[in-house]
Amino acid sequence: MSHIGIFTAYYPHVELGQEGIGRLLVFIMKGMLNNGHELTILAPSWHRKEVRKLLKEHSLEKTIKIKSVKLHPPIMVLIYEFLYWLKNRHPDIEDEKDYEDDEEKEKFTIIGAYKKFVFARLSSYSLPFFLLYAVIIGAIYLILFPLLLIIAPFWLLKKWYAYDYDPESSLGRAKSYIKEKLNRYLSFVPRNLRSDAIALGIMDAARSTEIKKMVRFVNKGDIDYWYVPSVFWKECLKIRKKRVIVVPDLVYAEFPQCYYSNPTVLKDVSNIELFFKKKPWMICYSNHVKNRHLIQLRNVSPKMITVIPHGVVDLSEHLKMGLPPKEIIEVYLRRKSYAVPNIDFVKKYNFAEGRYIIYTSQCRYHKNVIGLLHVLEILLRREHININLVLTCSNYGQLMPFLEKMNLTREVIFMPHVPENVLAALNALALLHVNPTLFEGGFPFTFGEAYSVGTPSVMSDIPVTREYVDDELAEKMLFDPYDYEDFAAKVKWALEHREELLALEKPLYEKFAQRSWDTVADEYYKAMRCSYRRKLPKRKRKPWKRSKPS
Amino acid sequence: MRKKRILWICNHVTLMDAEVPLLLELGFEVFVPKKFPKGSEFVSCVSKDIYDPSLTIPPEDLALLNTVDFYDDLFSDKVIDAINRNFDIAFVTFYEKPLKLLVRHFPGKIFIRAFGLAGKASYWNVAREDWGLHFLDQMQSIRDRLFFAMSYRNMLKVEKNLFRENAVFLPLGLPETFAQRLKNGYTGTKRQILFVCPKICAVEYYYNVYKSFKRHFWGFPYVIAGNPFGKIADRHLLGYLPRAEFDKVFCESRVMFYHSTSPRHLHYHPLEAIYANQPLIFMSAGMLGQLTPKVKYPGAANSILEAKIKVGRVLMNDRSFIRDIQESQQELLQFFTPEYVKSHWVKSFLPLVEDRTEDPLNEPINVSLPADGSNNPVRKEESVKKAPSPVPAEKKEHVGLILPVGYRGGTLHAFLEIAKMLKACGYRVTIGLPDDYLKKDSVFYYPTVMDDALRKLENDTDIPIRFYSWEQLSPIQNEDLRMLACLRKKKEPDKLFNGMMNDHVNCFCECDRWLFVSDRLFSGIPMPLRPYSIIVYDFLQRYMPFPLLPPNIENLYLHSTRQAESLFVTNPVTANDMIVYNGIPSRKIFQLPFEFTAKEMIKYSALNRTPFKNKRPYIVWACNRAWHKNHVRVLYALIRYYSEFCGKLEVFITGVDTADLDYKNQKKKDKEKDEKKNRPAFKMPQHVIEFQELFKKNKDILKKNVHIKGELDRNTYFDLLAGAEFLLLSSISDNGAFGAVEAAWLGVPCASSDYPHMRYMAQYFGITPLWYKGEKIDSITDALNKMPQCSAEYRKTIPSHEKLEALSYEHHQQSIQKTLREAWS
Repeated sequence: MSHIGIFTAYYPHVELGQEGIGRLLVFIMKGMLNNGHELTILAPSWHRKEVRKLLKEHSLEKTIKIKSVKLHPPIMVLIYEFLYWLKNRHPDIEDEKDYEDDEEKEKFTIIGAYKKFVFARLSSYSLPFFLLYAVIIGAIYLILFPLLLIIAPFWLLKKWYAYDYDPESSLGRAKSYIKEKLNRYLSFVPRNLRSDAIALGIMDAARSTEIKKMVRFVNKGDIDYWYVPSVFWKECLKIRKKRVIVVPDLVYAEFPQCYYSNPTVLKDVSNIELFFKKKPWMICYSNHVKNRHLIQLRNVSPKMITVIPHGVVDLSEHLKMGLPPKEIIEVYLRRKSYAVPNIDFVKKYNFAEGRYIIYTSQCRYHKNVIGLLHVLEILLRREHININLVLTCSNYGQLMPFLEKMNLTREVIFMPHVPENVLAALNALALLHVNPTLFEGGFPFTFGEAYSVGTPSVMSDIPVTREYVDDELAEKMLFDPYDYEDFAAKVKWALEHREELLALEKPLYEKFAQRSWDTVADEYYKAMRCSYRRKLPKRKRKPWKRSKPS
Repeated sequence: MRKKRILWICNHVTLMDAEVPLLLELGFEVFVPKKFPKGSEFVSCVSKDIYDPSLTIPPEDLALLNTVDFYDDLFSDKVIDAINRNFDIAFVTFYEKPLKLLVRHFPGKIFIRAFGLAGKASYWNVAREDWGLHFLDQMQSIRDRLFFAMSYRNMLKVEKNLFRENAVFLPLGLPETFAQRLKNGYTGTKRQILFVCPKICAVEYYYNVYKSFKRHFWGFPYVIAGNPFGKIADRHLLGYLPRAEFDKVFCESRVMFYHSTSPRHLHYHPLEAIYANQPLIFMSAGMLGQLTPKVKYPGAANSILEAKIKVGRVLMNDRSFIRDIQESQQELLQFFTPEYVKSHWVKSFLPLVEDRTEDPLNEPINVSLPADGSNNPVRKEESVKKAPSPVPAEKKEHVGLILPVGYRGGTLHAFLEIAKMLKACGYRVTIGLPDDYLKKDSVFYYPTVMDDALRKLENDTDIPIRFYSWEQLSPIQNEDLRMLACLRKKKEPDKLFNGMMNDHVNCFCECDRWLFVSDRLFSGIPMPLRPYSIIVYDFLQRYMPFPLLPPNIENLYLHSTRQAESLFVTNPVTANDMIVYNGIPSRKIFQLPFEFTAKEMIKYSALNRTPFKNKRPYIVWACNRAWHKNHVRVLYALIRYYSEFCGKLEVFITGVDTADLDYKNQKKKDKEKDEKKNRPAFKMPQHVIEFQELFKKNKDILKKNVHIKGELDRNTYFDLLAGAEFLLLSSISDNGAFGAVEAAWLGVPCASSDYPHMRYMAQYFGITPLWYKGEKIDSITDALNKMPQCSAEYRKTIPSHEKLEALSYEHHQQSIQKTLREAWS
C-alpha cells in the first residue's frame, strides 16, 4: 500500500501525549497501519524526543519512522529550552527512592573539611607544633583578611536576604521592598515562557524557518501522501504532494471573550487567518465546526470543507490485562509520584471506595471547569451528595485560587500526566463521567472512554453532542452548561440512576462502536487521494478591433 | 393560482422604471413603497403608484402599506402581518432598517439588491462592521432563502461568506425611456470637456473627485455639471440646471470624461453619453473598463496621463479617433440591453423563486454517521426536501439581564420583577449579578442575596443566576479581542468599549442580547460582542448644584447610553432628560410601565396587622442618605415648624442608611474606625454632616419630636406608615417615589416636592399628593402646617385597591411584549 507522511510542527513545550490532538494522531496512525500503509512522521528537530515518547507509550516506535530535517534544534531554541527547563523544573518534588537511609550522612563541605583540619592541628599536644601551626594559620588569616573584608558585606547581605523577618516589622518591610525592586531588574529571564511575547516571537520565527525546510524536504522526498493535523502552519500550503489539512476547531472565533489575553492563541491566529486567505481544501471533525466556525465566522466556502467524524475510543483492553483498576492506580502512584499536587493525600487515597465523578480533559477556557466546580459545590453542600471530583488536567495551577476560595482543595483530586491504562482505571472506578464543556471540535472522546469501561456519562448540551444524541436521550444525558441548576440536577439524577443511564446510553455507544478507527483512517486516505491543486492562468488585454461587417 | 407578489423596497427612479416592468413581464405583481425620507441619499428617488393597479392585494392592506416609510419607520405588527400575508418575495436595497425588518420577520425569499461599492469595500464587511454580529447570525440562520442579487459579476471578487455563496447575478437594466431624448443628439459644437459631478458640497467623496479633476485638467476647457448642494465660487460649475438646458450642454460638449476607477460601481451619466453618441473617455480600472476584461477600447485610459492625451485628441477634433471611440463604445451597451438583462433574469432569478422546497444553493448537511462505514469522504450531495428556515423573530431570544452595580432595595426588586416579566413575555433569561454582593469589604456586601433573589423569583429554576466581576480591557487586549471576533480594526481601538462581565464561563455571550438595569456602567462600556439595551431610571446628576460624579465616569454613563441598541425608561420625563442631557435620538427610547407590584401589598393586607400606635399624631419621613432627599432644608423647616408654629406632629425618619443621620450613631462609627485603622473609612457626605450638626444644635426642640428609626423591615415599615397622618417624601428629583403608591394602598396621603417626574407618577397612579416646593423652606413649613387640617380631605382622593392593582406590573405583559418586540426588531 501507500507510504503516508505525517507532518507535525508543534512548539517545543507541547506535550503530545497529554493533548487530545496527540491521542487522535495515534488512533489515526494505528488505523492507517491496520489498513496496511507505511508511515513516517516528520517532526521538527526540537520535537523528536516528544514524538518518540508518544510512540513509545503506544508501542509504535518500531513500526513508524521519525524524521526531521536537522538532528538538533537551532541554538536559539536550545537556549529557550534551557530557560524553560530552568523555570519548570520541580526541585521540591523528586522521584522517591527505593529505600530510605536511616542514618543521616554527614555532608561534605570545603569549609567543614578545612575547619576539621585546622582544629585537628591545633589540638596538638606538643607546644612547638601548636605554635607553628598557630603562626601559619594566623599568617594565612592575615593574608586573607582584606579579601574577607571585601566578601563580608556580600555574605552579610546574603544572610540578611535569606533570613525570614516578620513581614510586619520595619526590617521585614524594608526587605520586601528591596526584594521587589531587585526582582524587577534582575528577572530578565521571562517569568512564563509560554506567554512571553519575546520568547513566542523567537519560537515562531524558528518554527517558520524549520517548516520551510521541512516543506522543501517533503517536496523533494518520495512520500506521496501527507497528513497535516493542524492549520497553524500556513507554510504547509506549499507542499506539492497529495495532502489533507485538518482544522480541528477555531475555538477562539466562537469564544473571543475567553481567548483575547492568551498570546499563544493570538500568535497562531495570525497564522491561521493568512492560511484561510489562500482558500485551501480542509477537513474537520464535525458539522458544527464546518458550519459555524469555518463557513459563518471565517467566510470559507462550503465546497472546500469535508467532514470526517471521529471513531470511538475503547479503553477496555487495558482492564483485560489482569490487574484490577484499583491496583493499576496504586501501582502507578507507587512508582512515580512527580507532578501530582498534594501527593501525600492522593497517594494513599482509596480510589475504589472514594465515590467520585471524573472529567478527563485539559483545563481550557471553554472547558467550563469552573462551572463544574460550582456544581460540585452545589451537590456537596446543598444537595448533600457525598462525592469528590477527579480531574486529569495538567494545568491545574490556574484552578488553585478558585479551589482555595471555594474550599474544595480536598474534594478535587488532580491526576495529571496519567498514562492510558490509569485513565481507564480511573474511568472504571468513577461513578459518573461529567463533561461540562462549552465546545468540542468533534463528539467528545470522553463518552467512549468512560462507557467502554462501564461508566455512564452526562454531557453538556452543545451542537456537537446534539448531532448524535436524540431528544429522548438528551433529556436524561445532556444538560445546559450555562445553567448550574440544570447541570446539578442532571448529575444528581445520573448518580441516583446510574444503571438506568448506562442502559440508556448503550445504543449510542454501539452506534459509535460501528465506526472503527480503521474506517476513519481509510476516509482520510481517500481524502488525500482526492486532493488536487489548481492554478488560474493570467489574462492579457488585447486592443479593440473593429469587427468586420459580415 | 395567483401570481407571485414581490415587495420592492427601492425607490430609485431609473432602476424602478427598468426592473419593475421587467418583473411584471416575467409574471409577478410588484409593490413599490410610496414614502421615503428626505435627504441627499434619496435624491434620485420618486414614488409612483402606476404599478398599484396590477396588485391584487386587499385594498385596506394596500392603503396601510402606502402609508409606511420603509426606510425609517418602526414597523408595527399590523404592517409586518400585511407584508407576510401578501408577499412571497422581497427585494430590498442595502438599507439597514428594511433589511433588518425583512430578515427578522419575512418568511419568504429575500433578495438584497446591490449596486456595488467604491474600491475594495464589500457589502459583507459593511454589514459586519456596522450592523452588529447578532444580525449576521440572523442572516446566517435564513441562509437558504436569502440571496445577494448583485448587479455586476465582479462583485464576487470582494464579497464574502453568505453574500458570496448565495450570490445571484441579476444585471442592471435600463428603462426603455432611458436617454431617449438624447439619442444620437451629439453635436459637439463646443470645444469643452463635460464632467458630471453632483453633491460636491454634500459628500466628501465627490468633493475630492471634483478637486482632483480640477487639478488634473487644469488648462483644458471644461464644464462641471450636477447639483452641488451648496455654493462654490467656480465659473466652471454649472450648478443645478433644468433638464432641457442640461441636455443642451450635454449634446454641445465635445467629450465626456468619466473619472471613476472603482470596478464595482457605475453612474448613469456615462451611459447617457454613449446613448447620445458623445465620445466618452473612461478609466480602464473602472466599471466600464472591466466589463470586457479581454479587450481594451479606444476610449479607455489606463492612467490620467493617457486620459489627458485622449481627451486632448478629441478636443483637437481627431476625426478618425472620434469615430473609433463612438463605434467601439456602442458595443458596451450590449450589457445593458433589455434582451441581455432579461435572459439573465430568466436564467438566474426564475429558478430560485419556483415552487420547489429543494434548494440547490444550500448544501445538505450529513449529520448521521455512515452506517456501512465505507462512505466516500467527499460526499455526494443528496437533494433533501427541506422546509424553508423559520423566521428569526419567532426564535426564543435569550436575554442576559444584568445588574451593573450591587444595588439593594428598590432597584434589586425592580430588576427581579423585570426578569419575571421577560420570562412571561416568552424570552429565555439569564441573570447576572455583580460579585460585589459577595465581597466582604465592599459597601454592597450582602451574602444572602441569592436567597432573596430566589424568593422573589418564586424559586423559578428556569432562570439561571450567575455572579460576575467587571473586567477592564487594556487597549492591546481590546484590539486582540476585536481581531479574534473579526470586528472592525481601527488604528486606535475604540477606547470607550472596554468592559467585560467575567463570569468565568462565557462572559454571558451565550445570550443573544444584554439588558442592563440602570446605566451605571462605571467599569466601561461592554465590548460589542452582543447588542445591549439599558433601562435608565434617573438623571440625578443633572439636578444637583455640584458635580456628583467625576467627569470621566459621567462621560462613561453618557456614552454607554449612546452606544446602546435601545433604551428603556419608566417615566417619560426621564426620557426627556435623556434626549436633552445625553443627546439621544428619541426613536431609540421606549417607555415601559412602572415596576409596581400589588402582590407585596396584598400579602401585607392579608396579614391583618395592627398599625403602629403613638400618643401624638405623627408623620413618616421616608428617605435615604443621598443628597437629593433634601435633608437639610426639611430639617430647617421642621425646626421652624416646632419653634415658630408650635407644631403638634411627630416625625419618624426611616429608610435605608438613615441611621447614619443620627449624630449619636456617628460617634460610634468614628470609634469603630479608630479601632480598625487599616480599613478605608467611608467618608460621610457633607450634607449628612450638616444635618447632624444642625440636629445637635437644636436637639432641645427636636429630641421629643423627631425620631430616627433607621432601616425597618417591610412589614414593620408598613405598620408604621399605616398609622401615620401623612407620608413625607422629600426628594427634589428622581424617577418618582414608589413610597407614595404604597402609602396610597395603606390609605395614607403623602406630601411631595413638586417636580415633573413625580407629577407624572402621581398622575399615572391617580394619586393627589400635597405638593410643596422642595427648594423653599417656607413652602415645606407651610405643607407641614397644613397637614393636620387637610389630612381627611386628601384621604378622600386616594384611589381604591382595585384601581391600584389594575396598574400592577403583571397586568402590563402585553404592552411590554409589544414594546420589547418593537425595540428589539
